[in-house]
Amino acid sequence: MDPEKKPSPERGASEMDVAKVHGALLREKQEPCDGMAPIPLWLMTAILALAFWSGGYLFFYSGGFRGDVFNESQIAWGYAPTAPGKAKDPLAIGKRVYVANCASCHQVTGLGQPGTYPPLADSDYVNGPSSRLAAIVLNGITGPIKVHGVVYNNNMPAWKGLLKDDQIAAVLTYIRQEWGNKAGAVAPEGIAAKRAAWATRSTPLTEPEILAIPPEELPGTSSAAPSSDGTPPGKAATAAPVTPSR
Amino acid sequence: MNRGLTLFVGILATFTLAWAGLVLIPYLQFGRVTDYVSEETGQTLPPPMSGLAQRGHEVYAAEGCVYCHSQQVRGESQGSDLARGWGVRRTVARDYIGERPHFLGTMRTGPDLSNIGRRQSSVEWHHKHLYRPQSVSPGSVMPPFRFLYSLRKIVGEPSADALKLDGLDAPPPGWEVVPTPDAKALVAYLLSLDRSYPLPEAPTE
Amino acid sequence: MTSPSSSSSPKGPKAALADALDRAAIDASCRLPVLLFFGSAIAWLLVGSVFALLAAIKLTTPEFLADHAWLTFGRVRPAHLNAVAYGWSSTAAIGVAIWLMARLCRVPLRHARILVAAAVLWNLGVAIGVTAILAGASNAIEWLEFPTYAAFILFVSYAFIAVWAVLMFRERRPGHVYVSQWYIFGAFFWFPWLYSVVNSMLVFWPVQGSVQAIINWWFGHNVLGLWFTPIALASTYYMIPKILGKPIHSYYLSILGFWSLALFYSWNGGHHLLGGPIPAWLQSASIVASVMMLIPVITTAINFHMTMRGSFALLRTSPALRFTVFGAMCYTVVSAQGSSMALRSLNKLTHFTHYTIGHAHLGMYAFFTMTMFGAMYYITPRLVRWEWPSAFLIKAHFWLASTGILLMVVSLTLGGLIQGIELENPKVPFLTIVAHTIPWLHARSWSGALLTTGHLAFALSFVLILLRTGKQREGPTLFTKERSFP
Repeated sequence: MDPEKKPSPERGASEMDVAKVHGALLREKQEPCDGMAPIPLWLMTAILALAFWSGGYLFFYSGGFRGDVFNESQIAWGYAPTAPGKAKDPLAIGKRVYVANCASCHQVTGLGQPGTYPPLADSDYVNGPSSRLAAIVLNGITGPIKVHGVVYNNNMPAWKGLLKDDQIAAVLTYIRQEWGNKAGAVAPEGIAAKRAAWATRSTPLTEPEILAIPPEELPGTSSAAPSSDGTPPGKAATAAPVTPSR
Repeated sequence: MNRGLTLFVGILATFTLAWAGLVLIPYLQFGRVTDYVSEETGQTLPPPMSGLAQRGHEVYAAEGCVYCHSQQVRGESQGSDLARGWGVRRTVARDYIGERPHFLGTMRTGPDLSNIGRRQSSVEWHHKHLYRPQSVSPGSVMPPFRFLYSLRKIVGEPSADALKLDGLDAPPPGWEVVPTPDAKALVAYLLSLDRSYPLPEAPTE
Repeated sequence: MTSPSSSSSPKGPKAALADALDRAAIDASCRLPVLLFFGSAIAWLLVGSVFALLAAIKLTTPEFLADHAWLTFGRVRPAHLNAVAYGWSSTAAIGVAIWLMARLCRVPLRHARILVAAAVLWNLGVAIGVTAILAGASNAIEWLEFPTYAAFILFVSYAFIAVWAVLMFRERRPGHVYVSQWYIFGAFFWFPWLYSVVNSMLVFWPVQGSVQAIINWWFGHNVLGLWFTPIALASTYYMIPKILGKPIHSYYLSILGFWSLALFYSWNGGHHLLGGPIPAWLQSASIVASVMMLIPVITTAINFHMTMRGSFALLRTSPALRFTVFGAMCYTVVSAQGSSMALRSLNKLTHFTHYTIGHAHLGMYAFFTMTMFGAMYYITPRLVRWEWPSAFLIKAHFWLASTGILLMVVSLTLGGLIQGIELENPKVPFLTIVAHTIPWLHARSWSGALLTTGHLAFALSFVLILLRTGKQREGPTLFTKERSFP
């Protein structure tokens, strides 16, 4: 705001000084200064609109400003929308268990990984007798196993220490009815019985051992799956195959 | 604005406001949460990390795993992390109280590892994967960590730790590939990554 | 309201000459420290480019140089980030800021020894830090990888610079304080506070759990918003009116832009953790602040655009102006993109993908680095008292840099969108997504090669002007000859 200082006489220029000044400095424009154009009205309006939006956003998505609320839509200032009813559907639970524990090898598509992990879709082990399938999941597998004529040589861990009966039953039901599979639902009591029967087994099973298990359905297993036209379980009359055709 | 003081006070005030909002209040609000003892199982959650896993945490930092792998599972409204099976619930502040530094990550060149110990629990798989990722994940762009393994001549009995490698990776006859202590620690850390336990603020069902 | 620090026309040739002599004295006093910062910045730019190329190739060819622990991807990538952020960007920013400060305070630079000591320490700190990362001693906290000893050296060096800035500002010739000075003043305070607070809470005495993450990203975003951005804006606010010889469009817009930036940019950090393990309110607060960033960005864009109006033809001639205006335009684009990426609905697609990497390069390269190039093209001839020896090299640099960064941002943005959309669909296996990103990553490697070639041209230009090669030119080195340019 102060008036610009006048150049003092001692800094006055002489012809000698001129030679020392670089050309770029002589042709330079003045140091930058400010114009005084006003702030446009539309910008002010836009700022007000943004401020209004911000207030609304914070109101609705602040989670009540609590340190233990992580879902933005959970609480808006003391108003808690009721949580949606929890899925009791075994297929939904089974899907959750499957993606969390099985999908890293067998993939969400149920197709496995070629050459490494066998597919579950259209697999005779999955659609076949639930006694064998339950034994595999409870104890794990080691060594070669043939699925659809392809030999896979890998390890599957035992799940009996990690998953509960109802979780195993749900995931077996899920894999037996997903990707076009159409075998019966497995019940938790069947898994409980199998778990008791295999209680002392601490190493994974091998293919011959699995095939030596009597091919039977576990107690509580429904005989068939819903058919593709949407008939509920038990109405369709497809019998589960008894021996895996290898 | 020609007064240095006005400028200084404004610069200080805006900065302090943001510091209070984004650092101080979060620290007071959730920077001191403690672990939780489950009423159902009596377990301490999150489970404390073993010494070997702690060492593996340091290897994870040194090799920069965090630049390609996140360790956070977002809720259902943000992305498909749950549907992909990277976790059974979103992760919350309490899951990370034992970690210094944090490995939340910002990039998924590779998959999320929040629950990798649960999703892939085989020690052998992890060693094979670190030695040459493409041997178990064809098409992966993860670099090999062969420098965490040593190739050595078998003297007397073969080592119990030796990797069971075949095909391209098999060592010459009479030689074996064994993990260094760093590799073992890293695998122990990876296997310890399991954030599928329920917490009061993040139930699993 | 203000009396502009005008110098040339109104007071006659004698006063104009006196002002030119004043400027000559100021430039002479800046010569050693500023050239030291510029030279080391360019050296780090080359180092950073090499790490960038290595990292880019490794992402498509994992077996490339894979058997050396020092060159594994997880070490080369942070080495790249730190070499360009602290080696190139910060060093260039300090150099430009020193010169702007001296010019705008209208006094020759004093205490130059403090700055020379700071420059030496800074380079030492960065060299130790980058070596430590390659040796596996990284903290593995993004933007803060330097171990304690390197971070401490940087902090001491920066304390020197901040003390110098305060001394300099106090000794300024009384008069109007121009908008560039506000930004520089702010940056010189914000950065050391930020760096020391965050280092002490994350590295020296780390806090627990995901609070580390929020502090980490509060720093990660503030380093852009309160350090690189203000210096680049200060440079733009200086260069555009200076080269055009016009006043900046509106003082009021300058004020609005500065204070809204100070108020909102510092709250943006949480948007790096959307959906993550931090409370919902923190995420929402950062989203709101990110959207509010539209205010300073639109304001600044209007101010620059209205000043440039009627003078766009000069972009064909002046290298400094062309680089600066390219940067300013990219500032508008990258900031608007950043505000949109903070929205939850878009963030769920772009988070964790190459889209974000594209955004980061649009900000740090197309905006910040191009602005710094522009400033260096303007400042260096005044310090060396020699014109740029080769217009061809400048031209090559501009076209390699601008097409290179365009190719990089387009390929990472498209590749990242595809990646994000496929990640949203749990039916697409992860390795399929990886395969789909590879062609885009190849394009990115090529863009890196273009940029690196451009940097070589720039470095060569810089060495040639330091050596004062070629004939002494009468006028400035320009892109086109036909137009007379004052």
